[in-house]
Amino acid sequence: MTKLTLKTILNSTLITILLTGHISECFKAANVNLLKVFESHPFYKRYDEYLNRFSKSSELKILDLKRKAAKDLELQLSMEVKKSHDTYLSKQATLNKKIDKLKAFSQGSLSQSLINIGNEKKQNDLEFAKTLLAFKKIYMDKLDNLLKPEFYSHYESQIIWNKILNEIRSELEVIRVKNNIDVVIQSNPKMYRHGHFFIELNRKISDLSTELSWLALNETNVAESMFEYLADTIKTDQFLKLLPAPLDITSQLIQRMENINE
Amino acid sequence: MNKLYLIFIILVSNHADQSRSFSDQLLSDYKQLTKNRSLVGTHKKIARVSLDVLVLLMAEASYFDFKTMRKIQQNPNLFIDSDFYSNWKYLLRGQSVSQSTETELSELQKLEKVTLADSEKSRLEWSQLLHRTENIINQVSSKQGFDIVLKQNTILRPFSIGHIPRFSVVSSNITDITMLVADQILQLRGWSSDKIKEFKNLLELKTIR
Repeated sequence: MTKLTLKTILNSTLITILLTGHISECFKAANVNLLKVFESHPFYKRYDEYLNRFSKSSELKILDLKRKAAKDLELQLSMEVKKSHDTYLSKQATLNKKIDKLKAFSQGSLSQSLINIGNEKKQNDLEFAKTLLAFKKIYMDKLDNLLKPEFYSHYESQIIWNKILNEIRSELEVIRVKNNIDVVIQSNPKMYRHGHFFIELNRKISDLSTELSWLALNETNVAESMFEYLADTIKTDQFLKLLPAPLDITSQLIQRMENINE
Repeated sequence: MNKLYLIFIILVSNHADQSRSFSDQLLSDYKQLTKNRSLVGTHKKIARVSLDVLVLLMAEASYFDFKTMRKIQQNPNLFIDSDFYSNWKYLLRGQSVSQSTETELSELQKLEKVTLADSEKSRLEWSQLLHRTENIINQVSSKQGFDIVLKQNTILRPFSIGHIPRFSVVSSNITDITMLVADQILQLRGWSSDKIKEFKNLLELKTIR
Protein backbone atom coordinates (compact mmCIF):
# COMPACT_ATOMS: atom_id res chain seq x y z
CA MET A 1 0.00 0.00 0.00
CA THR A 2 1.44 3.38 -0.93
CA LYS A 3 2.17 6.01 1.70
CA LEU A 4 -0.42 8.35 0.25
CA THR A 5 -3.16 5.76 0.26
CA LEU A 6 -2.35 4.77 3.79
CA LYS A 7 -2.57 8.36 4.98
CA THR A 8 -5.78 9.00 3.10
CA ILE A 9 -7.34 5.96 4.68
CA LEU A 10 -6.12 6.91 8.12
CA ASN A 11 -8.03 10.16 7.83
CA SER A 12 -11.25 8.22 7.85
CA THR A 13 -11.97 6.70 11.23
CA LEU A 14 -14.38 4.17 9.83
CA ILE A 15 -11.96 2.80 7.31
CA THR A 16 -9.12 3.01 9.82
CA ILE A 17 -10.88 0.36 11.85
CA LEU A 18 -11.01 -1.87 8.80
CA LEU A 19 -7.33 -1.20 8.31
CA THR A 20 -6.41 -2.61 11.68
CA GLY A 21 -5.45 -5.92 10.18
CA HIS A 22 -3.08 -4.25 7.75
CA ILE A 23 -1.35 -2.21 10.46
CA SER A 24 -0.86 -5.30 12.55
CA GLU A 25 0.96 -6.86 9.60
CA CYS A 26 3.22 -3.82 9.19
CA PHE A 27 3.95 -3.00 12.80
CA LYS A 28 4.52 -5.20 15.77
CA ALA A 29 3.09 -3.78 18.97
CA ALA A 30 3.30 -4.93 22.57
CA ASN A 31 1.53 -4.15 25.82
CA VAL A 32 3.02 -3.39 29.16
CA ASN A 33 1.35 -2.76 32.48
CA LEU A 34 3.57 -0.10 34.02
CA LEU A 35 1.65 -0.18 37.27
CA LYS A 36 2.52 -3.85 37.81
CA VAL A 37 6.14 -3.18 36.90
CA PHE A 38 6.34 -0.29 39.35
CA GLU A 39 4.77 -2.40 42.07
CA SER A 40 7.49 -5.00 41.60
CA HIS A 41 10.22 -2.36 41.85
CA PRO A 42 12.18 -2.33 45.14
CA PHE A 43 11.40 1.38 45.58
CA TYR A 44 7.69 0.61 45.67
CA LYS A 45 8.13 -0.56 49.26
CA ARG A 46 9.35 2.91 50.07
CA TYR A 47 6.53 4.68 48.27
CA ASP A 48 3.71 6.28 50.22
CA GLU A 49 0.73 6.88 47.96
CA TYR A 50 -1.07 9.14 50.45
CA LEU A 51 1.93 11.47 50.59
CA ASN A 52 3.21 10.78 47.04
CA ARG A 53 6.67 10.59 48.53
CA PHE A 54 9.38 8.00 49.07
CA SER A 55 10.60 7.26 52.57
CA LYS A 56 14.24 7.26 53.63
CA SER A 57 13.70 5.34 56.82
CA SER A 58 12.50 1.78 57.33
CA GLU A 59 11.39 2.40 60.92
CA LEU A 60 7.69 1.72 60.56
CA LYS A 61 6.74 3.30 63.88
CA ILE A 62 8.38 6.62 63.02
CA LEU A 63 6.87 6.57 59.54
CA ASP A 64 3.43 5.97 61.05
CA LEU A 65 3.88 8.90 63.40
CA LYS A 66 4.78 11.12 60.46
CA ARG A 67 1.73 9.94 58.54
CA LYS A 68 -0.48 10.77 61.51
CA ALA A 69 1.07 14.23 61.67
CA ALA A 70 0.38 14.61 57.94
CA LYS A 71 -3.27 13.67 58.54
CA ASP A 72 -3.47 16.46 61.12
CA LEU A 73 -1.96 18.84 58.61
CA GLU A 74 -4.54 17.74 56.04
CA LEU A 75 -7.25 18.60 58.55
CA GLN A 76 -5.68 22.02 59.02
CA LEU A 77 -5.68 22.47 55.23
CA SER A 78 -9.32 21.48 54.92
CA MET A 79 -10.22 24.01 57.64
CA GLU A 80 -8.38 26.75 55.77
CA VAL A 81 -10.07 25.74 52.52
CA LYS A 82 -13.45 25.82 54.25
CA LYS A 83 -12.72 29.30 55.62
CA SER A 84 -11.82 30.54 52.14
CA HIS A 85 -14.87 28.84 50.70
CA ASP A 86 -17.07 30.60 53.27
CA THR A 87 -15.55 33.97 52.30
CA TYR A 88 -16.15 33.09 48.65
CA LEU A 89 -19.77 32.14 49.37
CA SER A 90 -20.42 35.29 51.37
CA LYS A 91 -19.16 37.39 48.42
CA GLN A 92 -21.43 35.35 46.15
CA ALA A 93 -24.35 36.05 48.51
CA THR A 94 -23.63 39.80 48.33
CA LEU A 95 -23.64 39.61 44.54
CA ASN A 96 -26.88 37.61 44.59
CA LYS A 97 -28.42 40.37 46.68
CA LYS A 98 -27.31 42.84 44.03
CA ILE A 99 -29.11 40.70 41.44
CA ASP A 100 -32.28 40.63 43.56
CA LYS A 101 -32.07 44.40 43.90
CA LEU A 102 -31.66 44.74 40.17
CA LYS A 103 -34.75 42.58 39.63
CA ALA A 104 -36.79 44.67 42.06
CA PHE A 105 -35.70 48.11 40.90
CA SER A 106 -34.55 47.79 37.34
CA GLN A 107 -33.24 51.19 36.41
CA GLY A 108 -30.96 52.40 33.65
CA SER A 109 -29.30 49.82 31.47
CA LEU A 110 -30.41 46.46 32.85
CA SER A 111 -28.18 44.45 30.50
CA GLN A 112 -25.05 46.43 31.40
CA SER A 113 -25.76 46.13 35.14
CA LEU A 114 -26.17 42.38 34.65
CA ILE A 115 -22.87 42.14 32.79
CA ASN A 116 -21.15 44.13 35.57
CA ILE A 117 -22.45 41.81 38.28
CA GLY A 118 -21.47 38.85 36.13
CA ASN A 119 -17.92 40.21 35.90
CA GLU A 120 -17.78 40.59 39.66
CA LYS A 121 -18.97 37.00 40.06
CA LYS A 122 -16.31 35.81 37.65
CA GLN A 123 -13.65 37.80 39.49
CA ASN A 124 -14.75 36.17 42.75
CA ASP A 125 -14.43 32.72 41.15
CA LEU A 126 -10.97 33.52 39.85
CA GLU A 127 -9.78 34.84 43.21
CA PHE A 128 -11.02 31.66 44.88
CA ALA A 129 -9.24 29.50 42.29
CA LYS A 130 -6.01 31.43 42.89
CA THR A 131 -6.36 31.05 46.65
CA LEU A 132 -6.76 27.29 46.30
CA LEU A 133 -3.72 27.06 44.04
CA ALA A 134 -1.71 29.05 46.60
CA PHE A 135 -2.80 26.57 49.31
CA LYS A 136 -1.36 23.75 47.27
CA LYS A 137 2.05 25.40 47.17
CA ILE A 138 2.02 26.42 50.85
CA TYR A 139 0.97 22.99 52.10
CA MET A 140 3.43 21.20 49.84
CA ASP A 141 6.20 23.14 51.62
CA LYS A 142 4.63 22.49 55.02
CA LEU A 143 4.53 18.77 54.28
CA ASP A 144 8.20 18.80 53.26
CA ASN A 145 9.15 20.37 56.59
CA LEU A 146 6.91 18.11 58.61
CA LEU A 147 8.07 14.86 57.02
CA LYS A 148 11.82 15.37 57.01
CA PRO A 149 14.14 13.64 57.60
CA GLU A 150 12.18 10.37 57.33
CA PHE A 151 10.71 11.15 53.92
CA TYR A 152 12.24 12.62 50.80
CA SER A 153 10.86 16.06 49.88
CA HIS A 154 8.32 16.46 47.09
CA TYR A 155 11.08 17.62 44.74
CA GLU A 156 13.43 14.76 45.67
CA SER A 157 10.60 12.25 45.32
CA GLN A 158 9.88 13.56 41.84
CA ILE A 159 13.53 12.94 40.93
CA ILE A 160 13.22 9.37 42.24
CA TRP A 161 10.06 8.88 40.16
CA ASN A 162 11.94 10.13 37.14
CA LYS A 163 14.81 7.70 37.76
CA ILE A 164 12.47 4.75 38.21
CA LEU A 165 10.56 5.50 35.01
CA ASN A 166 13.80 5.95 33.08
CA GLU A 167 15.10 2.68 34.47
CA ILE A 168 11.91 0.87 33.49
CA ARG A 169 11.95 2.39 30.00
CA SER A 170 15.58 1.53 29.48
CA GLU A 171 14.98 -2.16 30.30
CA LEU A 172 11.85 -2.09 28.21
CA GLU A 173 13.91 -0.96 25.22
CA VAL A 174 16.14 -4.03 25.55
CA ILE A 175 13.11 -6.32 25.43
CA ARG A 176 11.58 -4.33 22.57
CA VAL A 177 14.68 -4.59 20.38
CA LYS A 178 15.24 -8.23 21.26
CA ASN A 179 11.69 -9.11 20.20
CA ASN A 180 11.67 -6.85 17.12
CA ILE A 181 8.79 -4.80 18.48
CA ASP A 182 7.98 -1.48 16.85
CA VAL A 183 5.99 0.12 19.61
CA VAL A 184 5.20 -0.62 23.24
CA ILE A 185 2.08 0.85 24.76
CA GLN A 186 0.70 1.08 28.24
CA SER A 187 -2.09 -1.43 28.64
CA ASN A 188 -4.20 0.97 30.73
CA PRO A 189 -5.24 -1.18 33.61
CA LYS A 190 -8.26 -0.18 35.61
CA MET A 191 -7.37 2.82 37.74
CA TYR A 192 -7.44 2.47 41.45
CA ARG A 193 -6.77 5.48 43.54
CA HIS A 194 -6.52 5.55 47.26
CA GLY A 195 -6.84 8.82 49.05
CA HIS A 196 -3.95 11.22 48.96
CA PHE A 197 -3.12 14.35 50.89
CA PHE A 198 -4.44 16.83 48.29
CA ILE A 199 -7.49 14.86 47.13
CA GLU A 200 -10.09 17.29 48.52
CA LEU A 201 -8.18 20.37 47.43
CA ASN A 202 -7.70 18.94 43.94
CA ARG A 203 -11.41 18.21 43.71
CA LYS A 204 -12.25 21.80 44.59
CA ILE A 205 -9.72 23.14 42.07
CA SER A 206 -11.11 20.81 39.38
CA ASP A 207 -14.55 22.31 39.98
CA LEU A 208 -13.03 25.62 38.94
CA SER A 209 -11.27 24.22 35.87
CA THR A 210 -13.21 26.42 33.43
CA GLU A 211 -12.12 29.50 35.37
CA LEU A 212 -8.55 28.16 35.39
CA SER A 213 -8.64 27.85 31.62
CA TRP A 214 -9.69 31.52 31.35
CA LEU A 215 -6.84 32.59 33.60
CA ALA A 216 -4.30 30.31 31.98
CA LEU A 217 -3.82 32.33 28.84
CA ASN A 218 -2.49 35.31 30.80
CA GLU A 219 -0.89 33.86 33.89
CA THR A 220 1.84 31.28 33.50
CA ASN A 221 1.55 29.80 36.97
CA VAL A 222 -2.14 29.15 36.36
CA ALA A 223 -1.45 27.69 32.92
CA GLU A 224 0.70 25.05 34.63
CA SER A 225 -2.23 24.10 36.83
CA MET A 226 -4.61 24.10 33.91
CA PHE A 227 -2.77 21.20 32.31
CA GLU A 228 -2.59 19.38 35.61
CA TYR A 229 -6.32 19.59 36.22
CA LEU A 230 -7.82 19.64 32.76
CA ALA A 231 -5.94 16.69 31.37
CA ASP A 232 -7.67 14.61 34.03
CA THR A 233 -11.03 15.83 32.76
CA ILE A 234 -10.20 15.40 29.10
CA LYS A 235 -9.47 11.84 28.22
CA THR A 236 -9.31 11.32 24.51
CA ASP A 237 -10.10 8.03 22.87
CA GLN A 238 -6.83 6.39 22.23
CA PHE A 239 -6.08 5.51 18.67
CA LEU A 240 -3.54 3.15 20.13
CA LYS A 241 -6.32 0.64 20.28
CA LEU A 242 -5.99 0.39 16.52
CA LEU A 243 -2.80 -1.50 17.00
CA PRO A 244 -3.69 -4.94 18.26
CA ALA A 245 -1.10 -5.80 20.84
CA PRO A 246 -1.09 -9.50 21.41
CA LEU A 247 2.29 -9.56 23.07
CA ASP A 248 2.28 -8.69 26.75
CA ILE A 249 5.84 -8.04 27.90
CA THR A 250 4.97 -7.10 31.50
CA SER A 251 6.31 -10.28 33.08
CA GLN A 252 9.47 -10.17 30.94
CA LEU A 253 10.08 -6.62 32.08
CA ILE A 254 9.44 -7.44 35.73
CA GLN A 255 11.92 -10.32 35.44
CA ARG A 256 14.59 -8.04 33.96
CA MET A 257 13.98 -5.37 36.61
CA GLU A 258 14.33 -8.00 39.33
CA ASN A 259 17.60 -9.21 37.86
CA ILE A 260 19.17 -5.78 37.70
CA ASN A 261 17.98 -4.86 41.18
CA GLU A 262 19.24 -8.04 42.83
CA MET B 1 55.19 -28.30 -9.67
CA ASN B 2 51.88 -29.49 -11.13
CA LYS B 3 51.16 -31.34 -7.88
CA LEU B 4 51.87 -28.23 -5.90
CA TYR B 5 49.59 -26.23 -8.18
CA LEU B 6 46.84 -28.84 -7.75
CA ILE B 7 47.17 -28.73 -3.96
CA PHE B 8 47.03 -24.93 -4.08
CA ILE B 9 43.86 -25.04 -6.22
CA ILE B 10 42.23 -27.54 -3.86
CA LEU B 11 43.13 -25.44 -0.82
CA VAL B 12 41.93 -22.23 -2.38
CA SER B 13 38.68 -23.73 -3.62
CA ASN B 14 38.10 -25.32 -0.24
CA HIS B 15 38.77 -22.01 1.47
CA ALA B 16 36.53 -20.22 -1.04
CA ASP B 17 33.76 -22.69 -0.27
CA GLN B 18 34.16 -22.09 3.46
CA SER B 19 34.15 -18.35 2.89
CA ARG B 20 30.96 -18.61 0.87
CA SER B 21 29.15 -20.43 3.65
CA PHE B 22 30.51 -17.94 6.17
CA SER B 23 29.22 -15.14 3.92
CA ASP B 24 25.74 -16.69 3.96
CA GLN B 25 25.77 -16.66 7.72
CA LEU B 26 27.13 -13.14 7.70
CA LEU B 27 24.38 -12.02 5.38
CA SER B 28 21.65 -13.37 7.60
CA ASP B 29 23.37 -11.91 10.69
CA TYR B 30 23.66 -8.60 8.92
CA LYS B 31 19.97 -8.68 7.99
CA GLN B 32 19.07 -9.35 11.61
CA LEU B 33 21.46 -6.65 12.75
CA THR B 34 20.04 -4.01 10.41
CA LYS B 35 16.56 -5.01 11.43
CA ASN B 36 17.50 -4.54 15.07
CA ARG B 37 19.39 -1.34 14.30
CA SER B 38 16.31 0.17 12.68
CA LEU B 39 14.41 -0.71 15.84
CA VAL B 40 17.07 0.72 18.13
CA GLY B 41 16.89 4.13 16.46
CA THR B 42 13.78 6.25 16.29
CA HIS B 43 10.93 4.81 14.28
CA LYS B 44 10.67 6.47 10.90
CA LYS B 45 7.00 5.71 10.27
CA ILE B 46 5.27 6.03 13.64
CA ALA B 47 5.05 9.17 15.76
CA ARG B 48 3.00 10.06 18.81
CA VAL B 49 1.18 13.13 20.13
CA SER B 50 -0.59 14.09 23.32
CA LEU B 51 -4.01 14.83 21.91
CA ASP B 52 -5.46 15.70 25.32
CA VAL B 53 -2.99 18.56 25.76
CA LEU B 54 -3.17 19.77 22.16
CA VAL B 55 -6.96 20.04 22.09
CA LEU B 56 -6.74 22.44 25.03
CA LEU B 57 -4.55 24.75 22.95
CA MET B 58 -7.19 25.12 20.24
CA ALA B 59 -8.98 28.48 20.31
CA GLU B 60 -12.41 26.79 20.33
CA ALA B 61 -11.56 24.94 23.56
CA SER B 62 -12.31 28.18 25.43
CA TYR B 63 -15.94 27.74 24.33
CA PHE B 64 -16.31 24.72 26.61
CA ASP B 65 -17.36 24.57 30.22
CA PHE B 66 -14.98 21.89 31.49
CA LYS B 67 -17.05 21.09 34.54
CA THR B 68 -19.98 19.88 32.45
CA MET B 69 -18.10 19.42 29.14
CA ARG B 70 -20.91 21.38 27.48
CA LYS B 71 -20.36 24.09 24.91
CA ILE B 72 -20.86 27.74 25.81
CA GLN B 73 -23.17 29.37 23.29
CA GLN B 74 -22.27 32.84 22.06
CA ASN B 75 -19.61 34.86 23.89
CA PRO B 76 -17.70 32.70 26.43
CA ASN B 77 -16.30 35.84 28.09
CA LEU B 78 -19.79 36.67 29.31
CA PHE B 79 -20.65 33.18 30.53
CA ILE B 80 -21.32 32.84 34.26
CA ASP B 81 -23.64 29.86 34.54
CA SER B 82 -26.35 28.38 32.35
CA ASP B 83 -29.20 30.38 33.97
CA PHE B 84 -27.51 33.68 34.78
CA TYR B 85 -29.03 35.70 31.94
CA SER B 86 -32.35 33.88 31.59
CA ASN B 87 -35.76 35.51 32.09
CA TRP B 88 -34.54 39.11 32.47
CA LYS B 89 -36.46 40.49 29.50
CA TYR B 90 -39.76 39.87 31.32
CA LEU B 91 -38.82 42.61 33.78
CA LEU B 92 -39.38 45.11 31.00
CA ARG B 93 -43.05 44.11 30.76
CA GLY B 94 -45.41 46.97 31.47
CA GLN B 95 -42.78 49.58 30.72
CA SER B 96 -43.73 52.18 28.13
CA VAL B 97 -42.41 51.32 24.69
CA SER B 98 -39.55 53.57 23.69
CA GLN B 99 -36.38 53.37 21.67
CA SER B 100 -34.29 52.68 24.78
CA THR B 101 -36.65 49.90 25.94
CA GLU B 102 -36.45 48.29 22.52
CA THR B 103 -32.64 48.44 22.59
CA GLU B 104 -32.55 47.05 26.12
CA LEU B 105 -34.89 44.20 25.16
CA SER B 106 -32.67 43.32 22.24
CA GLU B 107 -29.54 43.35 24.48
CA LEU B 108 -31.22 41.11 27.04
CA GLN B 109 -32.30 38.71 24.33
CA LYS B 110 -28.70 38.53 23.16
CA LEU B 111 -27.48 37.85 26.69
CA GLU B 112 -30.12 35.17 27.12
CA LYS B 113 -28.37 33.19 24.43
CA VAL B 114 -25.15 33.05 26.49
CA THR B 115 -25.87 29.63 27.93
CA LEU B 116 -24.79 25.99 27.60
CA ALA B 117 -25.69 23.83 24.64
CA ASP B 118 -27.38 20.52 25.38
CA SER B 119 -25.22 17.47 26.06
CA GLU B 120 -25.74 15.82 22.68
CA LYS B 121 -24.83 18.94 20.69
CA SER B 122 -21.85 19.58 22.98
CA ARG B 123 -20.57 16.04 22.51
CA LEU B 124 -20.77 16.48 18.75
CA GLU B 125 -18.99 19.86 18.89
CA TRP B 126 -16.25 18.39 21.09
CA SER B 127 -15.66 15.51 18.71
CA GLN B 128 -15.51 17.99 15.83
CA LEU B 129 -12.91 19.99 17.75
CA LEU B 130 -10.90 16.82 18.30
CA HIS B 131 -11.19 16.13 14.59
CA ARG B 132 -9.89 19.62 13.70
CA THR B 133 -6.99 19.10 16.11
CA GLU B 134 -6.27 15.76 14.44
CA ASN B 135 -6.24 17.44 11.03
CA ILE B 136 -3.48 19.78 12.20
CA ILE B 137 -1.65 16.80 13.70
CA ASN B 138 -1.92 14.97 10.37
CA GLN B 139 -0.59 17.98 8.45
CA VAL B 140 2.43 18.27 10.75
CA SER B 141 3.13 14.54 10.81
CA SER B 142 2.83 14.35 7.04
CA LYS B 143 5.42 17.12 6.66
CA GLN B 144 7.70 15.14 8.95
CA GLY B 145 7.21 12.02 6.85
CA PHE B 146 5.33 9.85 9.37
CA ASP B 147 2.68 7.41 8.19
CA ILE B 148 0.94 6.85 11.50
CA VAL B 149 0.48 9.07 14.53
CA LEU B 150 -0.57 7.48 17.80
CA LYS B 151 -2.78 9.83 19.77
CA GLN B 152 -2.25 9.33 23.45
CA ASN B 153 -3.26 10.68 26.81
CA THR B 154 -0.08 11.96 28.26
CA ILE B 155 1.34 11.66 31.74
CA LEU B 156 1.70 14.93 33.56
CA ARG B 157 4.04 16.17 36.22
CA PRO B 158 4.03 15.83 39.15
CA PHE B 159 4.51 12.06 38.98
CA SER B 160 2.22 9.96 41.09
CA ILE B 161 0.99 6.39 40.98
CA GLY B 162 -2.37 7.65 39.74
CA HIS B 163 -0.75 9.15 36.64
CA ILE B 164 1.11 6.03 35.53
CA PRO B 165 -1.71 4.43 33.53
CA ARG B 166 -2.14 7.61 31.48
CA PHE B 167 1.30 7.21 29.93
CA SER B 168 0.33 5.47 26.74
CA VAL B 169 3.31 5.03 24.41
CA VAL B 170 6.20 3.88 26.53
CA SER B 171 8.88 2.88 24.06
CA SER B 172 11.48 5.60 23.54
CA ASN B 173 11.86 4.95 19.81
CA ILE B 174 8.60 6.71 18.92
CA THR B 175 9.11 10.41 18.18
CA ASP B 176 6.86 12.76 20.12
CA ILE B 177 5.69 15.54 17.79
CA THR B 178 3.44 17.27 20.37
CA MET B 179 5.64 20.36 20.47
CA LEU B 180 5.70 20.71 16.69
CA VAL B 181 1.91 20.50 16.56
CA ALA B 182 1.57 22.91 19.52
CA ASP B 183 3.71 25.36 17.60
CA GLN B 184 1.46 25.07 14.56
CA ILE B 185 -1.77 25.47 16.57
CA LEU B 186 -0.50 28.54 18.42
CA GLN B 187 0.80 30.09 15.19
CA LEU B 188 -2.63 29.60 13.62
CA ARG B 189 -4.08 31.43 16.62
CA GLY B 190 -1.80 34.36 15.81
CA TRP B 191 0.32 34.14 18.95
CA SER B 192 3.66 35.96 18.99
CA SER B 193 6.78 33.82 18.79
CA ASP B 194 7.79 34.88 22.33
CA LYS B 195 4.45 33.82 23.77
CA ILE B 196 4.60 30.52 21.89
CA LYS B 197 8.09 29.88 23.23
CA GLU B 198 7.00 30.61 26.79
CA PHE B 199 4.02 28.32 26.51
CA LYS B 200 6.04 25.52 24.96
CA ASN B 201 8.60 25.73 27.76
CA LEU B 202 5.77 25.33 30.19
CA LEU B 203 4.47 22.28 28.34
CA GLU B 204 7.94 20.74 28.39
CA LEU B 205 8.04 21.14 32.15
CA LYS B 206 4.59 19.73 32.77
CA THR B 207 4.54 16.74 30.47
CA ILE B 208 6.71 13.69 30.24
CA ARG B 209 7.99 12.45 26.93
